Amino acid sequence: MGLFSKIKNYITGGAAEVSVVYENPKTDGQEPMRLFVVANARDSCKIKNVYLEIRGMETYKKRETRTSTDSNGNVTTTTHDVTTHYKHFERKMVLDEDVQMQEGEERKWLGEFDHPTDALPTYHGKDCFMKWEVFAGLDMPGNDPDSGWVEFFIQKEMNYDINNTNGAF
Amino acid sequence: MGLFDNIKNYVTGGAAEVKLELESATLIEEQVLKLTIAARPTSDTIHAKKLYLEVKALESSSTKNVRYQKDYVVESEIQINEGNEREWTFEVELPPEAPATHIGKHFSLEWGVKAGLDMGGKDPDSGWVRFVLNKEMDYSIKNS
Repeated sequence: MGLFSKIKNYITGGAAEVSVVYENPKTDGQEPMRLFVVANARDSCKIKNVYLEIRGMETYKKRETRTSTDSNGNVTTTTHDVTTHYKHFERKMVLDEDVQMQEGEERKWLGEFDHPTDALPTYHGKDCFMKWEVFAGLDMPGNDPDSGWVEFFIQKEMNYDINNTNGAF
Repeated sequence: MGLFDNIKNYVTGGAAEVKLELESATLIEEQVLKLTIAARPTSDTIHAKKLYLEVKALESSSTKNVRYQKDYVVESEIQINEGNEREWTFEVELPPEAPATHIGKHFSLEWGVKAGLDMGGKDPDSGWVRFVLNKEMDYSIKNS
């Protein structure tokens, strides 16, 4: 691989292709989640560590009011519903350290983690979502090659009663 | 009843009192909502085109999105005489795709049901009665 390709990979994180393969992307939240992080080197790579980030994140709409004043001193107030995120859970794990890969080589690492006992189940609505995702990356000089966020699904029956509801109607 | 009372009832929906009771406010897996509706005139005999039921699942943050809605006609052409009360029992079967109740930190998906008498002016109704649907949802299907 030429010098320019190496520089490009340094900037774009293209030195390796990283993906996440779940043993089963669906879980009831009781059993640990098991997955493989797979890396295919497109270039020789010196990796400081292989990491996995896990997050449970709520997406919702929040009303924001903005006030602006024009050059004549007229004040205008507008409201917008803005997409907002709230992290219920966040964790980072290191799966391996000081890894050397050669061009064309493939490596796999097993990742295993527990869910919080009070984990909310996955929800996909119109404006609102509760998503559980992992992100695998190779810590290297320059931009880290990564998998992007890959969703898994917590499917469980909740034990709500009418007192848990908060009066949407 | 005087003319002014009739006008008031037309505007406020106060010609009848409508009550809705659920056999259980929590549905677990079984997706059949069993309910009883009772209606009685507050004074004079009433005539209604129909007694209807609205079932709704509402996603709520700063925006409100209806995720499920279905209306039912329980009975048509109803007359309830002054001093009388009528009662209906009804069952609503929710479809398999009906979303489970979800209570997040900043949003919720909640269920409600309302009964009303279709009359001239504002319909007398029970107001929204909330219930909970606890079930396992598979959102991976839409993503596959």
